[in-house]
Amino acid sequence: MITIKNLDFSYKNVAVFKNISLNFKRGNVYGLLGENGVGKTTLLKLICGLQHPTAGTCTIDEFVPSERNPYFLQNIFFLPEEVITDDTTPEKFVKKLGVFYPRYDHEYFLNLMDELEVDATKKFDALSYGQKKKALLACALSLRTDYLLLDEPTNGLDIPSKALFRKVILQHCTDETTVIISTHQVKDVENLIDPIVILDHDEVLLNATFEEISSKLYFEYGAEKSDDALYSEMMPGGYINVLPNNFEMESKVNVEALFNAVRNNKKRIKEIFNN
Amino acid sequence: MNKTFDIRRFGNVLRYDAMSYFQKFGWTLLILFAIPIGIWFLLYTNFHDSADATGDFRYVMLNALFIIAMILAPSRLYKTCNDSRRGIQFAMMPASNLEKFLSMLFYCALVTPLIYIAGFTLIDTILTLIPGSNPYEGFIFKYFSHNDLVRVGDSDMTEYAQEIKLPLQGLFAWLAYVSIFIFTNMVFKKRKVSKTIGILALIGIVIMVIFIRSIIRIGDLDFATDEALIEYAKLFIKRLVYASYVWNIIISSVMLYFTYYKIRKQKY
Repeated sequence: MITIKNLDFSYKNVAVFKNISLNFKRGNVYGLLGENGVGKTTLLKLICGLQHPTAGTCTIDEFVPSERNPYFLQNIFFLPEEVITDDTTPEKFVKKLGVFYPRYDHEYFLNLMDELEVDATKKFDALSYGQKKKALLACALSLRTDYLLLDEPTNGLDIPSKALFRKVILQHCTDETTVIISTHQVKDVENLIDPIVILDHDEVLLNATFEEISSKLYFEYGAEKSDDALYSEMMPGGYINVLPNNFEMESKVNVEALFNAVRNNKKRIKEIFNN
Repeated sequence: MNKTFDIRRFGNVLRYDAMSYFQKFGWTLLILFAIPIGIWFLLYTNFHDSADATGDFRYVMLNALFIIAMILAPSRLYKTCNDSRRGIQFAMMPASNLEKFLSMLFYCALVTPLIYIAGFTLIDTILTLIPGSNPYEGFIFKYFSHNDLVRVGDSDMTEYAQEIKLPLQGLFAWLAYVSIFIFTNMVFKKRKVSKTIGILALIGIVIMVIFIRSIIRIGDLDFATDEALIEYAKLFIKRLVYASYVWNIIISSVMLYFTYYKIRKQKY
């Protein structure tokens, strides 16, 4: 489990997080959402030890990420947003890296590459941006680490690839794995992520499962805009209204509307979810 | 298995770095190997009568190119280690900081010089064996046994300095020089080599000024006999050799420690 306790972090004098606490449990695919510059990538970097907290603690199982213990590193993989590759083929790249990961599965890598329709023997330079992303994703998944951190993984993927992405991530997940996906492309991962973590400037606005969200908020799809709504948005055929779920009604969570509702009603959302 | 050092894991790091060695440093090595071939070709095509490139000349060329290879090795092989984007792969590699550091030292301070000297010697030997009016005379490896890394001259004082040679003196001098470039490679993000050379040039100027002032001071002193002057100069050289010996050990240790420290504490 990833445990973040009273964590402060700042870049020089600019505070990114102030006293944030949250947990990431095993067996889940977390969606890490937030506006540009709120610190989504920074949080991922803190979790994998690339940045060090200014105060407070971040622990993964018994490890402190910033110590970069090799046993910790062989169980976590961070795939950054920017595609940076060596002058080699995906197959050679993953073989080179795989020796460090005890559960690395080369057969699985080749199957994933087939599934994602990328040639493992072509040099990275000869692949398109989307193909590179898919190849690196296959590399990351085949290392079979318990913790997988993906920063904007669907950027640059075409529509069929996004569906394949969701499929391979779901196949990868077990009760032991924790996947954290940081993204702006909420729709790409809507049916994949649960729970959702919404970050704001220096704090965590929401960390809840879909079940908790739908028990506290009601997503009404109607012809009219509701006056009581925390957030309303026009959509084809009417409006989507996000309301406090005072009558325990069931509804389908719309992540984009949820995000905007949280963003526009920070205090209120905290009150609703803390009760 | 140990979290600080495990021989199997270290082997994996060495293997990992070896697999990208020629990819990162191959072109630089090729260019450095091409220089002696180019010089030989120029001599071969322009001078036909006698051997022009003595072993001494080629040995100096080997040293000069060797120094260039050593300067460039860290910045070519581990250029991206401290880069906030490209360095992530290095930082996240499941090996200890010590293993990564030792592998860095192994390739920069041991493998590169060995490859370079072996390559240069091989090329020089092949060129020497080419029949016809060859400008190369004698094999270069003959010079290895009776030359220092850089020859200073043949004065009495140089001989004296040779007499008071301390154990592993050459090794420490060379390690100090290599470790500076390994360290600055972890510190500077861009123009690593030129910044290091700039700083070393400044330090060199300061040391030179101090040295010249000391020499002038000696010149101002009155000595009863020439022997007394020579004795004083010998003492001065002895102190200089001892000081540089200690200095090189300190520099090597400090630079290598801070390189390791920087690898541990580097943020991305």
